[in-house]
Amino acid sequence: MTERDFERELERGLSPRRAPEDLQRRIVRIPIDHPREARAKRSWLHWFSGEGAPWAAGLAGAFASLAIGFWLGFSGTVNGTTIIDTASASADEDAVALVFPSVPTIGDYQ
Amino acid sequence: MTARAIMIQEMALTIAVGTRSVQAAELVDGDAELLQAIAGGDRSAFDRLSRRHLDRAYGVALRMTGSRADAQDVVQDVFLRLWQRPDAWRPGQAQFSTWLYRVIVNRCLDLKRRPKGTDLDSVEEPQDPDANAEDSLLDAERSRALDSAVSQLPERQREAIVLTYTAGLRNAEAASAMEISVKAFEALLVRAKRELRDYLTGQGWMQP
Repeated sequence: MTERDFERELERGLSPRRAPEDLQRRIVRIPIDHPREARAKRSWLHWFSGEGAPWAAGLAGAFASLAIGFWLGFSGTVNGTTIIDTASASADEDAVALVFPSVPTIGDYQ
Repeated sequence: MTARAIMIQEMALTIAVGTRSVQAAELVDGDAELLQAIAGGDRSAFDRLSRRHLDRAYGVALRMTGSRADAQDVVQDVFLRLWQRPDAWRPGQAQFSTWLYRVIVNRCLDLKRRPKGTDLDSVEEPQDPDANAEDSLLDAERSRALDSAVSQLPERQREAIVLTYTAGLRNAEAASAMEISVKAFEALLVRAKRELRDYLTGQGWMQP
């Protein structure tokens, strides 16, 4: 037998046959038995149920307080009433006044 | 390419090749589109993709495990995961078929390494109903001898043979599936063929 004949023999003998009908049926049933809806239902809310709840709630709280901080800062709600107490760190008062010229310090009221 | 265009392409391919088995390389077009549709929950896309690859996937699993039951379980499990996680394969890396056969081979190897209580059942191929009885019997015997020869091969050599002749991968694709260089793969394939030839000659199926 030549190398070519042997090659042909391998190609013929090892080529795939038809998969058994039972397997074909099992494969066809996969999308029916495992509907994708089960996966689609996992919305972001699932993070707040079960094991993920504690850290998800903590993370949400952190974001919420950050958002409230930004809102307070940018809306100017606290700007006019902010007083920086530099009495205990009087050496830094000049530096504070340089960085925050519009913010009144204890010294402005004395 | 739309799902309809893919279907038409498949039909044309089937008509063109008749009953001859289609080379894996010819099936590459459209796999990515079908997987995209599967990710969107399209059942018909899953049907088409599985029909494209099922026979080869089963052939690979059968020759790697040597057991019809195990091969069916492996193939079912891989296709189930494909349905549940179509994003496991990422375009731009290996071709889908290369990736699929690598997953199947790895699962077969995992299965074989797991301790089992019972012996593997023998591989028996269905007989070709079109051939006459005498030829069919001879073919079945030859096929069994070849199966036996393949099952005697060391694991990596068997992988090389199965990926080449059953999965129909080119050398570069098969090397990628085995995660080795093309040169190393070719050396493995040459050794595997030499072993097969020696075994079949020793069994009287081939002239020296």
